[in-house]
Amino acid sequence: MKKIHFMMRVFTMVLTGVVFAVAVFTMVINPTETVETKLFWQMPLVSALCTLTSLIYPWNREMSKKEIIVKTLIHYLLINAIVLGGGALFYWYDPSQVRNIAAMVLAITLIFGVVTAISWRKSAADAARMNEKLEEYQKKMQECSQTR
Amino acid sequence: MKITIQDRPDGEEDEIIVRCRHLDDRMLKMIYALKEGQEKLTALKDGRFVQLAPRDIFYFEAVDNRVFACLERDVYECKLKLYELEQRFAETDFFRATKSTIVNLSKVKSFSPAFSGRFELLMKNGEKLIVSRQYVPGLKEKLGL
Repeated sequence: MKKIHFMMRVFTMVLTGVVFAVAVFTMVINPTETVETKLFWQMPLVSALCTLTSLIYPWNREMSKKEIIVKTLIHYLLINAIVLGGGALFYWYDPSQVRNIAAMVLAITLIFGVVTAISWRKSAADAARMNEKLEEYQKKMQECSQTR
Repeated sequence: MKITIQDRPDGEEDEIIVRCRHLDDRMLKMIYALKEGQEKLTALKDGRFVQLAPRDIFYFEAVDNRVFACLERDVYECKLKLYELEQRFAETDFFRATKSTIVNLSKVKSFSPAFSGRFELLMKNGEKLIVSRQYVPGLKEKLGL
């Protein structure tokens, strides 16, 4: 259940990033007046596949710093492969043009960076709240041991 | 809650009687805290058995099928398995941090975020430990979050 909750949170963030990227692509980089309705299932599908790649991080065991770096790199490359592959399959961009590929990779990197930054900020906020509660907890325990 | 402390004649064992309609969380915590304070843990160091007070233990760590109790500076080997320690100290300051560690919350100095939903613990003796993301919800619950 905790795992599903975690995956849903990642999916929401990735889908939001993809929606923004598509908006930038269709309005700035490759302006189009209309977008196809197929995009409404293509975007969640690609986002879901990207979310599944987060399963490469082990849930039940610890990772060394080296493993974290290697897995993050693999994660980033997998996301590139899925988005570039899916994008080419769904005609989101022209894979024969280097400029288009570069724009896609830039968008993927930005979304990856933003999602990572949001997750980090959430963890930092959680840690701050946990530190507050820890202080309260230890104070309470100290009072208990003094009254004993 | 009314607290009554009575003098006992010399030679008689100290006794605590809890008189209540029902045991609420606060009462249970108090009972477990008293129990934890009294119960000693038998551990081994340099071939000698010693009695450890749980409140002095910073964390338990399982390494190669052996379980160690880590104090501020010393390390002792425990004969209990990690899951047995987890059960024994379930309602106390101890919490499961990873598959191989059980940490004493009263010896934690601070939390900081680590990568991939995990948290790093800075212990009061300067050691750094990790809380796996699967054990983060349990820790939050213990802290009342």
